[in-house]
Amino acid sequence: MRIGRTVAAVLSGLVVLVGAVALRPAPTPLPETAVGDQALAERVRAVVGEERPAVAVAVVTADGTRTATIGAQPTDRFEIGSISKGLTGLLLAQAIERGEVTEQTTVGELLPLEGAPVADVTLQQLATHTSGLPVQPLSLRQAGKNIWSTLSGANPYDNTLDQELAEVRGLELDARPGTYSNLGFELLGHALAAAADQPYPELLRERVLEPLGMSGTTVPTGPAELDGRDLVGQNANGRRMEPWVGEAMAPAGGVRSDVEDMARLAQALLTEQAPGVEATRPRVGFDEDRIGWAWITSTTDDGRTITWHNGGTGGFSSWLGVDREAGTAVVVLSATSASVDGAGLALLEQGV
Amino acid sequence: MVGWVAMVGLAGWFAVRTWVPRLAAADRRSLVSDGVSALVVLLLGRAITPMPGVLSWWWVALAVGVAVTVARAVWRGAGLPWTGPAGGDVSTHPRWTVPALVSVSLHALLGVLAVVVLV
Repeated sequence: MRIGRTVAAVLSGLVVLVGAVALRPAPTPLPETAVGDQALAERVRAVVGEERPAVAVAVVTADGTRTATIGAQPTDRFEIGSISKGLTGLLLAQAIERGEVTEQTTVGELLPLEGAPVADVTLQQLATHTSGLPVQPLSLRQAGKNIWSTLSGANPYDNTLDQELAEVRGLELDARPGTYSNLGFELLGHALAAAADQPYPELLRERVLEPLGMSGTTVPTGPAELDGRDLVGQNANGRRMEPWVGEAMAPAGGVRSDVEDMARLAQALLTEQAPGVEATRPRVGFDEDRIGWAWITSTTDDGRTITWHNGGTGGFSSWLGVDREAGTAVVVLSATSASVDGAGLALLEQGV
Repeated sequence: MVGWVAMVGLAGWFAVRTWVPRLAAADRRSLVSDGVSALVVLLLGRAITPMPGVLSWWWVALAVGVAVTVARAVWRGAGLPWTGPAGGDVSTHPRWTVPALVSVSLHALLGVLAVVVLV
């Protein structure tokens, strides 16, 4: 009896003990080996730290493009998160150049939002976060999704476009101008798609991805569209997160790309050859910075002007920045949600 | 910060109820309740509280403490009734009641669900 009790106690304690060690709240560490430019890989390892399962970086200068990938292959796709907004900004600039829309076109002219306050919002307001829309739909349903996502690692952005439009119809436009709105860019992307009479993923592929040769970049609208090249991200505590994919969220954060494609985008932005590059021109104030159509322009402490956007999803973080005066662009992609903003800025400012 | 307070608080309470004779749980129901609460809050804290760098090892240390306490609770619980006398006479009090077993079962279910969702 006493032996049985002791065995039960030891086994129970061991189960919890093993669980405690196995569940240590930290991401999988970077592996030792890197693909691509080894010097760049070492520099990146130093600035982003070891606690992330995969990271990829590209540095574009007049001398060419250098890339390095640790923990993944160069063609593996990361969620680029809100850098997707930058791509949607490029689409807006192109749509204006083509005469499909103007800055003052309202979202109600393009999407079925009759009578809703949001119908009178202009595309320019959506593209500069000045529409008064909140970051997400203000509904119990969305709040429940956010809580469930935090607890379980689920995707909180799985709405279809119809669901999103239903949620947005009742919203008041009372958010402070400058309120960063995922919802606003979702509407913007789908409004542009409606103006071109194409689904958003096709529109982006035709007008941005194919012209730039970004053949590995995808806009999945459901988990079934993912394949072996799509990495699985972890949150900052190492939990594997569900992919953030959904029809509604695609223009705001649903694009997946690899480092080579992102280097092509960065180069096109650096040389101002990107289709719709007018989107990067700053137009209004955005906190301490200025913003164009998605793209943010900041002045660094040493007086340099940087155009950039970052991204963050449940399991990924990303940063793309361009310093045109210095002739340098940097992309950092990471398979954890821990921010890489500082690392990207450091690489851009200090060089590699 | 709130996450750490909750984790340390409930793990500490579980330890007190297991190790300190004067405040020790008098029945298995209490031990199961306190133990499951400590484990669930540990997992909840892991889900919602960022723990960069050395903080992740503090979490492991706390969890190891809970593991040792679980072992002690199992060893000690083997000699306790499912439901306590609540001030009454142990010799005349039933060793289990339906409410006590329902309570233990619900806590166990909560623990399993928490593991499934939070891990």
